[in-house]
Amino acid sequence: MIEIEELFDFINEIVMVVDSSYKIVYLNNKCKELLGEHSSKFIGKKCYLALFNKIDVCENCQIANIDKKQFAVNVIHETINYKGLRKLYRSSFEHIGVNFFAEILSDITEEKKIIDQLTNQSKALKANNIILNHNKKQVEEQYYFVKKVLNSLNEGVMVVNEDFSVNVVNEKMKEFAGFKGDIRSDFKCFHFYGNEKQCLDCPYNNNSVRASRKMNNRSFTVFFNRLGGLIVESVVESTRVIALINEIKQRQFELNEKQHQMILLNDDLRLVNEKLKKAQDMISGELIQVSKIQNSLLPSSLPDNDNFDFGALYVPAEEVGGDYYDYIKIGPNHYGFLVADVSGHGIPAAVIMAITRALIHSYAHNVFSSANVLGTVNEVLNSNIHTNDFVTMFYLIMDMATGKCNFASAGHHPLLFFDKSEMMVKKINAKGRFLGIFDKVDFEENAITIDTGDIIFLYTDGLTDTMNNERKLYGFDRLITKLILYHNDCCKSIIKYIMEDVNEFAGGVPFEDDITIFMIKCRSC
Amino acid sequence: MLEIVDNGKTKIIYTGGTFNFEVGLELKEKIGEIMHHTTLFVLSFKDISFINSSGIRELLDLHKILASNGIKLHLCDLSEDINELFSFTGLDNVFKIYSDETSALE
Repeated sequence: MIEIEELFDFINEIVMVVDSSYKIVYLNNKCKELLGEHSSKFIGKKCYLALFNKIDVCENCQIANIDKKQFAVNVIHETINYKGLRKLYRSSFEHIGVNFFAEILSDITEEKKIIDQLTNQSKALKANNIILNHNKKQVEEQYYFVKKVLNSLNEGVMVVNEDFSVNVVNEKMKEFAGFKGDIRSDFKCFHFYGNEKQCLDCPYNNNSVRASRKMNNRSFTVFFNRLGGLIVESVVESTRVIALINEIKQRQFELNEKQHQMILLNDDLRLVNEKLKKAQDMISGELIQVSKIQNSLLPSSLPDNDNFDFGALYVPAEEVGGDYYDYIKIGPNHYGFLVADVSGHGIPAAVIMAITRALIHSYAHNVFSSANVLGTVNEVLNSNIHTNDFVTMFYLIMDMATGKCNFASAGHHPLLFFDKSEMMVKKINAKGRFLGIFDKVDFEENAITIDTGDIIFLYTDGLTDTMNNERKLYGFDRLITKLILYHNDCCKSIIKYIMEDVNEFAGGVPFEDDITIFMIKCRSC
Repeated sequence: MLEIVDNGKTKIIYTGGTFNFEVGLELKEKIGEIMHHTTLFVLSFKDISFINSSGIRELLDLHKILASNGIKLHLCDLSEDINELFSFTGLDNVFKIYSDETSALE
């Protein structure tokens, strides 16, 4: 028995025998590693107190279970050895006789350490794995983000490796080149541009920063940037820009063409202007001729009579006027005096004026009724003038011996008669329509007698209708005042004073109409 | 400037200042555009201060055109001077002249 006990001292486990009251009956010397003293010192002591420093039975003790014939499981004891170090033991229990139980404790402290170490390492690995996974996810997210950004660009982007393989390419670039789906691994950058080998102006050759390329019949500008050993190519479509430049060039060409045409046109215009100037000079020359002819149709002198003073004035508004005055000796003692106004100006008016003069000179002789003369003239004029032009005329026939006058008016302004005896000017008229417009006009004929100092003042509306810069008319009142004021003067002077007043009134405003005056003053009748 | 008040078959025309060749021509052109379906034009002289011989010529021409188309032309609100002018030229027997717009429209 003793020998067997000594044998137990050589095994690597603590062998302990306790009775049913947990008192140690046997303990091998292996317990020294735990308790630091010889086993004999612990015989008879409670197992839980001696080995595990507890005051009561261990909670996982299996002895009670064995005693009740139940199955005993291995348990782990955790305790502190005599050196204060943490120790772990795996205990197995055996029922070795009535009221005796064996507990074999195997030191698993180191084993547990290794297990813990392995567990910790496993945990660390697991944690690392999680971090790595997280990082991977982040990298992937960044990758997708960058890819998304690249694909949302409106310009093509391609990153090219030194062997011309394509590192990254965005969708726009593929769209430009007309590719769909993934790019094959043997695909090279120059394939995008339709080349079978390195492009001639490849930035790997000559460090160029920009180049022009064609893809799908469209023009592109490529910008090269170096990124380490890689080349980043940004591709922008330049078709529109080129089209715009071409359009601008075309417009510029058209403008130049137009400018050239304008120069030619200007030359033509200059020639036309020269011709027009020549024509104008010719017309002006002809107008001067017409004006001369017209002036020659006016009386070159006035009647020479001891009893009467005469005065006349003709101021055309333009080169050729439409006014006319005249006197005709129609009988031994009778004279016909007239002023007329052809509507309008210029050559048509001058022609009508010439016709009217010819008619008057044809029909006035020996006709002593002014109304009859106008009636005849109107009939002939009306059948010969087919325009809207007309003639107004005041025609007065005077018996130079008696001073008796009869007169008729074809829509002309009234005659002004200065009556010396009453020292007043009377507006005298006779009813009658214009010449050359209406068929069969009845002209009223009225009569007056001129006495010594009296004045007969015939005129055209250009005189009374002279306008100043305020668009006011010279009018009758001012004219009549002047007539009364200067009635003692000779006709020539009276006309001079009146015209001075008219010019003063007009204040430099050019006359719009011709002005004609014909005056008869009785010196002594 | 011409102003035309359109009362359907009757139209009233207003103009002002001097009635000269230019005004007469414009009036003729304007009336030429709108004369169809019109039976009466009333030309108001309310703001016309003066009419010269060229203006009268155009007015006579207008009268002739309208008369040949069976359209009436009435003049109204003539100033004293213009009334006198129409009187001694005998035009008061050529044109229908009314003292005011209301009577010209009747």
